[in-house]
Amino acid sequence: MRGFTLSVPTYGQRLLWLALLMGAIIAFDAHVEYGELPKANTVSVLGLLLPLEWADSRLVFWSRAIFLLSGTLWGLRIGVPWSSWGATFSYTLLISVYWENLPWFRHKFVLPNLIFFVLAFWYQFYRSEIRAARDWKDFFRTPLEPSWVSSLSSWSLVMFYGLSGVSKVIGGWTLLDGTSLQLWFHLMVEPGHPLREAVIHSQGLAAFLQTGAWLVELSSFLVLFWGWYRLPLAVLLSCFHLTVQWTFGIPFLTNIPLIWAILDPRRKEDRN
Amino acid sequence: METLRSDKKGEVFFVRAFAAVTLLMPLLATELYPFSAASMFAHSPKTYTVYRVSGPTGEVWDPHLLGVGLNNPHDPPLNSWGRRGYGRRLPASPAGYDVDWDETLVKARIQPFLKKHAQAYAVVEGLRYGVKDGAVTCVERRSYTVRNERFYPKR
Repeated sequence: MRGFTLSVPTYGQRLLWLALLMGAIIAFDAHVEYGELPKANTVSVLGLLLPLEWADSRLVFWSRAIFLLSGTLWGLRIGVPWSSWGATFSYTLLISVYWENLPWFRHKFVLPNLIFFVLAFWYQFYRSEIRAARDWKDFFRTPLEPSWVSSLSSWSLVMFYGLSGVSKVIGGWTLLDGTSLQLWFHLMVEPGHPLREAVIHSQGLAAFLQTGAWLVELSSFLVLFWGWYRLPLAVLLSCFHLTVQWTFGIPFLTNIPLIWAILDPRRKEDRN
Repeated sequence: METLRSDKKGEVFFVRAFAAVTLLMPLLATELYPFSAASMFAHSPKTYTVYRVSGPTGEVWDPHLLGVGLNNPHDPPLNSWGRRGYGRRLPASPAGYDVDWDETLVKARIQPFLKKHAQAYAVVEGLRYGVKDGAVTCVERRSYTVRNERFYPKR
């Protein structure tokens, strides 16, 4: 059978509102504080296209302002699909400028960006239907959400976490012997933390935690085949982020609501 | 009830292209925002070396202010498409993962600080941590003094 199944847009619209909210929260973390350091590499697609001189604090300010404005309009379904693209591109520009000026990487911005692209394309392809349903005040009862909105959102999540697991395999299997996790705990976790002493004195515990985290990331691929795995994966990834926050203080908390909205374990049908 | 289906022009192409790009770009480029393999912690150091630097009064100075701090504790440097490192480059530090001792670089980093703040000397303690018998321990230690060249000119 040709084409994609259409359903009422509760999944996509809920995900949109949540992604816009999370994006708005983390948009304020972007800056060009390290812009005085020598330029090293191009680390974004927009960095290949834009001259470096543009990547300054004014661009950060304006791209954030445009994102907040067009994101609000998008969330209210005003001026679509232009507001969708305005929000998507201004967010991409904002974070690209941030990455281009960083002497490290910040990955919490990636997942919302991929979701923005999926949802912006949805609004692009279905702009007429969305505008008509909005004008008729019947948006949430009109079947105008194609099945690929949920499947590509899940795909984006799987690529983000699954390929993170793959990158660790490429880094070498010795990663799983626990040594590096012990060193990171010793270096980065505050003395007195309840888990710190246990990990730095037990290579077995470190190997268990490190292998476990790696398996959780890699297991993301399973939801592409097994719909029932959405709930376990949402729980495992949430626990993973909470543990990373609790120990290393690396803030990925804005990904947790997105994980639950994307995987949407309450969803009955399996459309992966 | 009949299931509604859609087949808009370009939709199938977009779905396939998006899936392909988000799979292949992180695998090929590792990091090219918004494509990312989220490579944090994707390396496996066996040791790390840090420096503890104190002044004549015993006051401990921030190693990052001196330029001997350990940068990028969890992001391995990019190594793809001829790129090495990150967007911006921090000054090279003698501290890091699996690095050799570099007394020359330590002195080069600390000397400007001593001159600027008119400190006679700094006591440097290099600490190398690794895993021995299943536990993290200091596997090597080096101590030396860096004298302010203004106070103690080279002969």
